Amino acid sequence: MTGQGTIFEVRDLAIGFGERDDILRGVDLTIARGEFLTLLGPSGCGKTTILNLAAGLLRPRAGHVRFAGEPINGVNRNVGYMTQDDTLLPWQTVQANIGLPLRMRKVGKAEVASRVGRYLEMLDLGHAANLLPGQLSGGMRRRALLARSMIYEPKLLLMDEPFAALDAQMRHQMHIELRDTVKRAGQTVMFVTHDITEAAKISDRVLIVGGGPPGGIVAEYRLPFGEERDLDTLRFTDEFARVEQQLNRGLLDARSRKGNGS
Amino acid sequence: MTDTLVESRPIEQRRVALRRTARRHRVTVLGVQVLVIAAVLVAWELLSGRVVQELLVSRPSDVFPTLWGWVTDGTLLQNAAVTFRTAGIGLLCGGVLGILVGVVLGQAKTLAEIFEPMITALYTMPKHALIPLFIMWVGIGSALGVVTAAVIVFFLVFFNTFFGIREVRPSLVNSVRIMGGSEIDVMLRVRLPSALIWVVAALKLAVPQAVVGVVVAEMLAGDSGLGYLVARNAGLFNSAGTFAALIVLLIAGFLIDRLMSWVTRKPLEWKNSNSAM
Repeated sequence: MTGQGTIFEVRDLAIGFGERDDILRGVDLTIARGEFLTLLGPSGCGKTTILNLAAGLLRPRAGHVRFAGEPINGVNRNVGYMTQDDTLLPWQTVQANIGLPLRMRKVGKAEVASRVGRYLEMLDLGHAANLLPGQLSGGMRRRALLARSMIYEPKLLLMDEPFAALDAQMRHQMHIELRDTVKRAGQTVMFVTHDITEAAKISDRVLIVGGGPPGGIVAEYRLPFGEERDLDTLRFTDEFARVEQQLNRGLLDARSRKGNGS
Repeated sequence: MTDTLVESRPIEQRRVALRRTARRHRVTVLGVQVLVIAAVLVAWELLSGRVVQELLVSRPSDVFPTLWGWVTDGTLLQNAAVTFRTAGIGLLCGGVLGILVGVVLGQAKTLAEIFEPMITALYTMPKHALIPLFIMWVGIGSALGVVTAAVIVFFLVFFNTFFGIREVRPSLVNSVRIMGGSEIDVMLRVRLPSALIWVVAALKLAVPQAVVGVVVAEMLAGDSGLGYLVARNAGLFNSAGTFAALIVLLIAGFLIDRLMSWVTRKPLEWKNSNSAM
């Protein structure tokens, strides 16, 4: 049964594409409201598939997928989805892109302007409001996408390796801004990455996806860093190094199960 | 080692210098173009009647007075108006139909599977070869030009709209749906703007092609228009008149091309806005 604090729940899931075998089987997963959950695993293990299930873009072969206690039928408009792909509309300015979900949801003009202004300021994009996406740097585009994914206050924010294309410094800056922004907004996040350091820095809980095929959730880690964490200093602590080692072992274990079934 | 950096030329000065260089380049190009045209006209004038029979090529000193005569007695304006009005109506009919059919087939996979090969087969037929058939259907006059231009424009616009709609990235469509967009939102905010670049590219080709279609129709079975002027003068072995009409078409084609580039610049601004930072 879905708990009061659970926003997304998967039970005994099996999923595959076309006539091919399942890529995930026997997956059980829940996310509590306000939690920052990361799915960590090697490429091609089915992490993005879980996000697509939550977004209602895929249907399972077996099992239950529930959002806020209700089965997901069709596209899930209660989530925000930040994919690896740049999905800013290239013919609209930054502020038009950020306000797009609100306009499509028939929010009043004044409210749209006010919320867009707030997010532009929050993500330091005020100076770029009237620029087109093609005129932005990679980091600015990611920030604009983050603003657009959050502005309509979705109950769950799905993020699929959103910073993979950024350089290390920019990625670190984005981690700080993301964690700060979602925690301030009380946002629930399901984040996908194959980067151990990234997972250790920003998550409340990490699930290792792998094994197989068909794969599944092979390990779970609740991170000990607390809600308020200083990402600039955290990564240089012994505790952080220990967590990284644990996650690394979990990931290696997931890889070693590849081909043996899970 | 010094601790002060050598100050490079201030940005504003560099900008001024760059603008000056660009202006100088434009003036040079324009100057060479004027010289080439002048050289062609001089060579034409000198060679005509000496190397090539004047009956075949006329000469600028006959062609331009003929042209000026048409300007002053209203012949040029009257015939040009017929040609461009006909081409405009044909462009509108063929363009609207091409966009509509392109949007419908671009969205409906099964319909596209049925009709796209048929439309492709029709496209491969030389459109000007259909003019005799159109004469049987609509007779001679401006209706013939409209039908010819519309058919030519339809295929160009249809294929570009069709592929423009189909080539839209699924991730863009999915993101708009997840953000709360309806199917109408997907069409108006993603598919059509995304296809716009293709449609505009098609229109850049379609506008001059529409004029060509009308001119050919007028030459074959017209009673007015620039094509008719060419055909009538050629039929009378009036090479000065023939060349005058051809020069009008040349200038008109050039102006149309420039006009289309100017008109399509704004809607495609985003396409040229690649990383400036």
